[in-house]
Amino acid sequence: MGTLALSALKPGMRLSADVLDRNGRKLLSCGDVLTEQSLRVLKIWGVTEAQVEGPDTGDTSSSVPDEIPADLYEAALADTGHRFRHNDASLPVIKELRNLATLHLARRMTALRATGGDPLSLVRPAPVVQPDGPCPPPMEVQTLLRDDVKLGSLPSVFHKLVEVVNDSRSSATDVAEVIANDTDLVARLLRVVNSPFYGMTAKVDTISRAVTVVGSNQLVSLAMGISLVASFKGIPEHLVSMRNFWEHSIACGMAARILASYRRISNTERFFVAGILHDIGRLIMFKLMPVHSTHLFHTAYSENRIVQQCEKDIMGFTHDRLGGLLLKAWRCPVSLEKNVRYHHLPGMAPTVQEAAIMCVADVTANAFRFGSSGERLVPVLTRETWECLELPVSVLGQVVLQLDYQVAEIVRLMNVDG
Amino acid sequence: MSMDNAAHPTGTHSLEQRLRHLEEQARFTLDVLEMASTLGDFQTCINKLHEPTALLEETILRIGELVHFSASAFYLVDENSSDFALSLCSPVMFRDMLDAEVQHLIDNGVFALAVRENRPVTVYSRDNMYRLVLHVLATSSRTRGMFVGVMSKGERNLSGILMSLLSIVLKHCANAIESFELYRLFRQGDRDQYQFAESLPLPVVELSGTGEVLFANAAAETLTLKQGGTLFSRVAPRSQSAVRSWMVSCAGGEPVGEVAVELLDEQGGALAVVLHATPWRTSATDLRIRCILVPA
Repeated sequence: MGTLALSALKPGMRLSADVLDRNGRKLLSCGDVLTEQSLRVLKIWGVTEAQVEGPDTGDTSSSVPDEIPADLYEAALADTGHRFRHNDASLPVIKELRNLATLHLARRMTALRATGGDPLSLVRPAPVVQPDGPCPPPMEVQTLLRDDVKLGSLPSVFHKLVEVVNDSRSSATDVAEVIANDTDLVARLLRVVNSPFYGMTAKVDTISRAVTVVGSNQLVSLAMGISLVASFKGIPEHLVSMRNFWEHSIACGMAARILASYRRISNTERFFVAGILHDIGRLIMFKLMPVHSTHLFHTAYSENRIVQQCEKDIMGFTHDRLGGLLLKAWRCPVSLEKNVRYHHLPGMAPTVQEAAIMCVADVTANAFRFGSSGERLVPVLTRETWECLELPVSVLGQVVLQLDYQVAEIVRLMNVDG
Repeated sequence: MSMDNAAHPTGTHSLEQRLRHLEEQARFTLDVLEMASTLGDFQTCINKLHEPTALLEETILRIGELVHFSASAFYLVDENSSDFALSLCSPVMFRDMLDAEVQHLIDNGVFALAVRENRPVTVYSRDNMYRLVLHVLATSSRTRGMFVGVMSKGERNLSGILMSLLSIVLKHCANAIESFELYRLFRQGDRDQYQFAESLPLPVVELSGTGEVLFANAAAETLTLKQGGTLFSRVAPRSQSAVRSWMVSCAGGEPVGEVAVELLDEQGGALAVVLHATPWRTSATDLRIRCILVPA
């Protein structure tokens, strides 16, 4: 008997156990021979794995497809091995992530070669920028928080927002759709909505509700703030490309939302918000501490360390802590603050499972290179964090499938140009 | 906080505008509440339906009052295979396009996401020409199907209120489909029982509380018991009191077994049978008695 991931199931295989959906509906029976239709049924109901007759393969991911050349697979394997160096390779979830990430990368490399591109360019790291002069001493996080931190945004988002708000036929959903795609606008919006001016008895943590509360008229002033547009222009490209930062945040938000939906947690949109905001602390670091940030990346990249783990030494605090404190200072909902604050340390969060979802989402977005907020290696995912989710590892394959489809779509629709 | 002040203009003109907006909103809210309260009234009589298409057609009409979809389709769960099958597509010309889009959404996992999320999920079609709104049809106990609406890309987005109304209509639709399905199962269960009884080699009859024959299988007709007749007209005079006595027992809810009874044949001769009877009630007042008559 063996458990195979959905992607590895083929017509003709015989089931060795009943297949149920998450609500207990019996979809297929033990002894059934898989057909194209039964595979379709499994996909429809979001089933990620099934037990079939035959030897146990020990992992749930699929084997190397024929269309991937051996040299590219080897290159992808080496790259994945390097990027997962700080993770425990014996954990089933890490094995699954590594296998999936290797195949994902190898497929991208194959596609690039087919169009005449250099497949190795996908794994070749950008040169590490040498810092000028010594690193300034670390700072106190309270020093940063003392100033009313102004955040920037992507110009294209502003244009889209102004377009929507000026359209008399536009609705709150249109506004929410545009805002949901902008890290900074989400932060600013939630900050305004949760300010004492509105006197809300309950904190607002979803974008659509925020738009309903604020009203689209008020958003014009938010969107039109020229200072916002200008503020991120100062971030040097060698620290982070805003497009990459953006893509990473979207991917993390989506992965968190999908994982939350597998756990049947209600109001999954707040996970999307938390994902979009999870690295906001890093953005502030880049903006206000560019010299420190250059040293940070230089140290992390040249010593093959995880950036987050170098932050304390060089910056004086970590980006997750800064992000959490900012959201707290802006009186954002506690759940949002905690999910951002503990996305690298879910075990310390008051709601461990929610923070664990954020952690897995962040690791997934990094592992599959959906953009980047500066991290080159895959952050650490522990057994305890993964087990909090109480999901089979085969879920990850389905999450990545949806990220491949949806992140690209949002990035395309957003026309993100950096 | 300077941003807060900037976000809320305080001029008289702005306040008047805001007042007008709020009045308009209040008017709209009343309309919407009235509509929401009637959205569950289906005109179709569920227990007379043979298939749920009429319910789906009515739902599409209701949705049409809320949102302009270029096409609307319902995929219902086939309870045997657990697959989703296209049950209604209006207009029909979108059928192939929708089938292809849905297959694509199944393959990339978005369909499964929409099954899990109990609210509308909006995606773009593969050619980027349309927006597809997916909404699961689910009751508290079971997923019944999926609604797929097609909006042209230029069409304005659904407002939060319309989204909520759409959810209400589809929730009602899912409940109506579930009611239909349960009625269908009841009817099917009933039919199956009579078909089974019909196939038995032993005489089986179902009587009303007054002894009227409501059902008689083929074997019972050899005992001259026929649907529409009465049992007492076929019972020999010396068994009449015994039959009355066991019917009283049955009326009290007690099953009766091994009662020797003499029936009359067509020529007036006696046919000895052993009777086993079980009472059941379809309601507090409606008593039915199912009997097996074994020739002695």
